[in-house]
Amino acid sequence: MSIKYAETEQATGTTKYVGQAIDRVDGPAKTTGEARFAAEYPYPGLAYAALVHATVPRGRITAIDTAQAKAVRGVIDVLTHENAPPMKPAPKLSLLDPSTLVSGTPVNYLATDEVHWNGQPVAVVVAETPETARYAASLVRPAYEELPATVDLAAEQHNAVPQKGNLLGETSADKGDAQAALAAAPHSVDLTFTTPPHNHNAIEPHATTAVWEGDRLTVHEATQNITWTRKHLAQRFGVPEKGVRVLSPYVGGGFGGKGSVWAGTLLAVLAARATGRPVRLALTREAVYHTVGGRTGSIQRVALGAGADGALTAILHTSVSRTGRGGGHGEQITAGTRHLYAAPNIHLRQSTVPLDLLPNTFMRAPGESIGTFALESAVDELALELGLDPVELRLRNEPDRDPVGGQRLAHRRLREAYALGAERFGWRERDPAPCGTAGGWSAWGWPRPTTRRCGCRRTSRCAWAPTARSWCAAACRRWAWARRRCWGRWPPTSWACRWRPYASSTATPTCRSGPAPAARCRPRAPRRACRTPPPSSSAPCSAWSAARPARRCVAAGRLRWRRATAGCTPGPPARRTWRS
Amino acid sequence: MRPFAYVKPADVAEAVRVAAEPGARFLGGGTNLVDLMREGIERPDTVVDVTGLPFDTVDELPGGGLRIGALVRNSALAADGRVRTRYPMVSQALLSGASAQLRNMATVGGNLLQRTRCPYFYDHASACNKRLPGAGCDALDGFNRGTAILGVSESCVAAHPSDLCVALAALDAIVEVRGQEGTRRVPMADFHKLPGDTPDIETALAPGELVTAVELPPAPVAANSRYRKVRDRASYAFALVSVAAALEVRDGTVTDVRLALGGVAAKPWRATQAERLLLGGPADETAFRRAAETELADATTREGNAFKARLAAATITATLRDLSTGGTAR
Repeated sequence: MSIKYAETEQATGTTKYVGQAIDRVDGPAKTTGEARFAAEYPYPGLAYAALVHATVPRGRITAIDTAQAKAVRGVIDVLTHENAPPMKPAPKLSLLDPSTLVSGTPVNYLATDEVHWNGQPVAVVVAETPETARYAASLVRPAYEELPATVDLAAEQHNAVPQKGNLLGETSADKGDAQAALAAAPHSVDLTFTTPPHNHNAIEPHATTAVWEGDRLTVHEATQNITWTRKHLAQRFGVPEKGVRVLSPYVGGGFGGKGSVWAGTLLAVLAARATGRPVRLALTREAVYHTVGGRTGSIQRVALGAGADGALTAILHTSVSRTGRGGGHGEQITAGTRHLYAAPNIHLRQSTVPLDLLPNTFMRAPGESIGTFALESAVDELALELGLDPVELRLRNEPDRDPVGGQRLAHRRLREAYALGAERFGWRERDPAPCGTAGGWSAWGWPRPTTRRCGCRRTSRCAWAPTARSWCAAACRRWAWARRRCWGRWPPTSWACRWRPYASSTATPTCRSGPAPAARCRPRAPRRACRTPPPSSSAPCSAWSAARPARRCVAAGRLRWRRATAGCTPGPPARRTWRS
Repeated sequence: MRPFAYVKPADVAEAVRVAAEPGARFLGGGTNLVDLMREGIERPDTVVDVTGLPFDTVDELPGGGLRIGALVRNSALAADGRVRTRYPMVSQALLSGASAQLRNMATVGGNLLQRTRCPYFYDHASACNKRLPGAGCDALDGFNRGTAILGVSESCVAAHPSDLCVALAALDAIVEVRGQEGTRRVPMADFHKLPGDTPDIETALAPGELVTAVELPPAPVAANSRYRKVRDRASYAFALVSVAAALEVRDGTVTDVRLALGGVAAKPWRATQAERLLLGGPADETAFRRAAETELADATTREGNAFKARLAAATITATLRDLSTGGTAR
């Protein structure tokens, strides 16, 4: 069976440019260094901050000795829970106000003597140079009363409790009697998979440059989430949202790690307020690991029962993952399993256990990436057990309707995708033994996981593909081209916080604050987006750049657009005066 | 970073004189020292930049050996045609380490003196006898996947991170050292120290002594040599286990063999027991495996690194098999 390009394009709707060689619109700016990142905005009187991290997993600070640090020449101030100006607590999580999702943790840094994880910031040093700040930070001596802590997922897995479902997703499913069907199945696999925790490691470590002018705040921020960050900062510092600017024209990688507001952002703003100076806080790698959540580790069981013909009779997929006692959330580890294969008996359960660790957070396909790894590995094992081709086994278990909910599947083209993939990769020519083919196949041997990538739930416009790679990486550029097609011009350089923030989706990793792929295709008046006070930023999406869109705008006779958006472009902050 | 003085001496005599002061450290490529200074592990009062000294050439020695200046960059040495032909394991070892950018900076002398990557050595909140003598060792019962299994003590289980040194140990290299009293030559086998009760003492260098060159003696066997490195990811990672091996076989009999291990000890581990067993014996899989297992018989493993003994034995066996059959290095 083969499938033509044209059909693939039709399936995803906006693929006019897929397959063409298209220059990155931000390529020249990034390769020439013209693109400016959050830690690269100069301000007169700029001071630099460094964090002091707790070294116990749980406890109370009984004393904190800052005398040695303060004595270092060039140190402006050392902020601790004893002297830091207060921040308001993080707003409670509410699905009615999605911006509350942006709080990485409810722990109120420097407003408490409590330590909730090893690495929690317990002091901030502000100094004239970054080197001085870091050196002085190493001289701050906190003393702790240590409290018992649990940090080992494997040891605590028996204390895990079933995760609750919410509007954003179900966390469990029961259809038929999966356990009995598994026991009765003539062929089965019953496997345990563990996946390690993952740290965020974007090429640009998190950075913030914060500037107060009275109650007006400007923050140059490496963020995937401009509007919510803006609202969150306004709430935490008790200032009107309209006076807060968050600027993030370029982000050096986000992957979910820059989706929430973490300690570095808040403490840079706090330090700027406390010292009356513009403050930059660029996290070290170590500080990223200590203050920015990552992906939880997981322990998963996948058990599959099948008849001799390969038809699945039972699917069991359970997971244990961790949250932090100071925040974090369960991840949708079995989400892919809800939809991938037809079976009369299905049991899915996700459980979590809170540990005394940095809260986990979004990371590139949260939950489902490690979940589909386990499921698809088990399907491969079952294929081996059955002596069936793994692609054939998958085709035999393609559902006609959603396996759990029974809904109609509007855009499921997985059969065609498998056929196309098998044809393109030369699947039939391979040595079918696991890792049996040398050369190109040696690193693969078996198909890559089928991954669900879906901007919405269930039946409407789900896109399925044998691998997520092509779909995701192209999303952002594809979007820019799609805008151009709709509007007859490129999206503006300083794209001004137009799209509502659910657009900042983890499924579009290179274009965090960009819109969802199915975004509306209607030109909008740019001026509204640029009303004073200046909106929170130009978009960090890599899809539009300084040079090229502007040229396009001129060519299209859209000078008005340029004028209108000029106010949004963060200009050099000259002529700014500072109270010392 | 703590304030420090920076000196760039004009000649080697001045360099060793300045460095004889307590609290002085030589700076070569800076790929390790600068990191350690940033982390507050190294806190020198004076940094003596020796990169202006004329030790950046690879010269022929009588009999076919090579004298490698201590300031030759890793990338330059790895690309040297003579090294690639006569000592391929040296070139392979260098290219398996770090990244292209780091190899462009890193020097041969600095490579010998790089310090362990044991995470507890870097973490000020942990106990480490190497960083703070007498503090204890949190690696013993901690995350010790990367730690040593041979020549360890109850004070320290840190592993030496170098790839190059493993090849140098296999080749009986000589380290040329310059101090205020003049020049001396230290065999590679004696250059690095096992931890014992003093894991903070890592080399045979006296304070202020400067590595000026490394000599590779002629070794025809090294023309058939390999460096094989096993690690948690395919590049930019330190070795869990590595093997530098050279093998000469005539009529099915091993007539010369060199074998050293990396990632398993506080020094590059010359596998002398295995070499003795192999020499004069058959060049077959059974003999390779027996020799490898004998070498690893004394391994002291811990929970996190128990796999290393088997991994090392298997890697030795596979490397020797490749060399004996002319197979390609993988």
